[in-house]
Amino acid sequence: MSHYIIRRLLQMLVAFVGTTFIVYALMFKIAGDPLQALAGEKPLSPSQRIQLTEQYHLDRPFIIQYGFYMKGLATGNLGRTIAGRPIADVLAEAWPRTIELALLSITIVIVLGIPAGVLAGMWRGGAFDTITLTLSLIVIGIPIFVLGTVSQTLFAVRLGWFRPSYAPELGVAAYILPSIVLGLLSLATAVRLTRTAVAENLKADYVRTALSKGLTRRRIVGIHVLRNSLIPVITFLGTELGALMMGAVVTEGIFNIPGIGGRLFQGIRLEDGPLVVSIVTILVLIYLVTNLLVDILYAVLDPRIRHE
Amino acid sequence: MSEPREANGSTVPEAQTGPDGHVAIAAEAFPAAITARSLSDDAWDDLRRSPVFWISITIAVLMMMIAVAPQWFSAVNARTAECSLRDSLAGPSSGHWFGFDKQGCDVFARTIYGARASVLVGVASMVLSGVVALVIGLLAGFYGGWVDAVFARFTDIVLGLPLLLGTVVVARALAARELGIWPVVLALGLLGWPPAARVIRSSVITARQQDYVQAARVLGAGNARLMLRHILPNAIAPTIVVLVISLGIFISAEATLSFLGVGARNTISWGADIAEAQRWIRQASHPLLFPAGFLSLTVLAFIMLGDAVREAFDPRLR
Repeated sequence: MSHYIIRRLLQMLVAFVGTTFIVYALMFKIAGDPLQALAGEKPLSPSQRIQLTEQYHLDRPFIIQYGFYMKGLATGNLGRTIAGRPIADVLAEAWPRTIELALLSITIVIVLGIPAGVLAGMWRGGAFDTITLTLSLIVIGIPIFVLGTVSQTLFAVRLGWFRPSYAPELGVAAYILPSIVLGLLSLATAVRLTRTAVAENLKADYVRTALSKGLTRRRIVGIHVLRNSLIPVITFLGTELGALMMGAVVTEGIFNIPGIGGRLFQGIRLEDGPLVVSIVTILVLIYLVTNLLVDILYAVLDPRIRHE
Repeated sequence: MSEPREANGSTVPEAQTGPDGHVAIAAEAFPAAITARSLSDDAWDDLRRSPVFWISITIAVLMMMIAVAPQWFSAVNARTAECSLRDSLAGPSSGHWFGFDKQGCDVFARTIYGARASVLVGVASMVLSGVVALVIGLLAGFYGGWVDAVFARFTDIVLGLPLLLGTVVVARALAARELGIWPVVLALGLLGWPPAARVIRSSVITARQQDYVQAARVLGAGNARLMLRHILPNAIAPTIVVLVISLGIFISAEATLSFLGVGARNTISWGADIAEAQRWIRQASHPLLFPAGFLSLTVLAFIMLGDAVREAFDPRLR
């Protein structure tokens, strides 16, 4: 097991260095003038130019710039936004909102998705199965920003069931509509995954054995099939937690939630290069770490993986 | 040389000996039921009967036509039309089915003319990512060993950068250069290939071990010939499926980028129109709903098309 973890950790390290290098190179090399890339089309005052050149060591060779950036990342020094606020402060303020949103989303996915998937898998080919399959395919096909803007229009503006934009005084209730929008795509995928796993496991030999031993169908599905079917679903949900952070960029932007995603959304619109690079790097890091944790969890749950 | 006719003539009624001494068996000797049917014949049979296939391919072709020739579908040219603020946010009417947006532009015309950006970016990114995926998948699957390992690590790195985040960075960095849709195409194409490459790699590995490939190798076929003539044709069906689905995903990604404000500038696009309309939803929702509907329909059509073709080609689902 420890061999497996060490190997995966090293692979992740390579991937992290590679991806951050690509992000950094794309940001600063591809545009020709790195200052332009940082500030977009806004005119920069001479003092801002000097400040940005200094902050990103733009007068040094590229590989050294990247080194300084990684050092800053490791020590928590992320530089300042174009407006001059320390990026670490912006992020510290935004984190809790994104975590609350993502946790509520994943809860919705688990509570609705797994039972729906189990039922669809048990009644494969039936009406419930056909309806969930069709609905989930439609949800997979609709871009998340369309889901967000349309449900904001429909449920918040037209019907008035929710507030169209984030209202902190409502507490968790403020996240209900955004978290459903954010979680719908994962919900659709989770339902399909659970359905396939349950349907396949129901054909397994151990189910026939359990049946001939006289166990009830409820017990077979609830204990034996579910436990075996949930392995791929759990790993999917783990990876999805990282992916939800990306979906949060659009969802938080639409509903004006001042979380990490909302900040990135604003950063893009306000052409705040330093903020965009920092948030993208951190989101990439989160994505890689969740993937690593999920891989380890997978190996714990399924011994076949670690002995491969 | 023994006479093959003596050996076979009695069991197979209409066997003939060809000029090179091989036994050629006339097709009529067998009942029609066992005539050779390829997997693609079966798949086509399945597809022809699938309503999902016909609906999705109709929508997909229609959207392609709208993208190529928007003037056939809209009397108003959205690129040159004068918008009048007098019409701002006016609702649908008989002359203007989708109503007007905040600037007083005809929403129907803008929706029709907005198809081009989405479809063009989708197709171009699919071609670019398809070429990258084909080269990487083919080489990694065919050679295996260290070539495969190197490509696997490389794929990990690209996969570590979520499509949307990576394209935001690239498209943003290039936005100031006025390159139109190409930064987005480049970003989607260069970051969107891993799923297709994985599919191609695994079908190449399956094909590589087949007897006919070994036979071709024994007969002296070189690696390039093996890959292009013998392995690739057998890996093409899953590749087409994954590319059609990726077309839907790229169209969705293009619209999302325009929505975020990093898409092509000075281009009419569904994403940008939806972003603009979202600012005024408290006053009117039709400028948002129509482009959103067209976009969703297009993405859905390609994803369903890919799904239908995959089901037809997957013998396990029969």
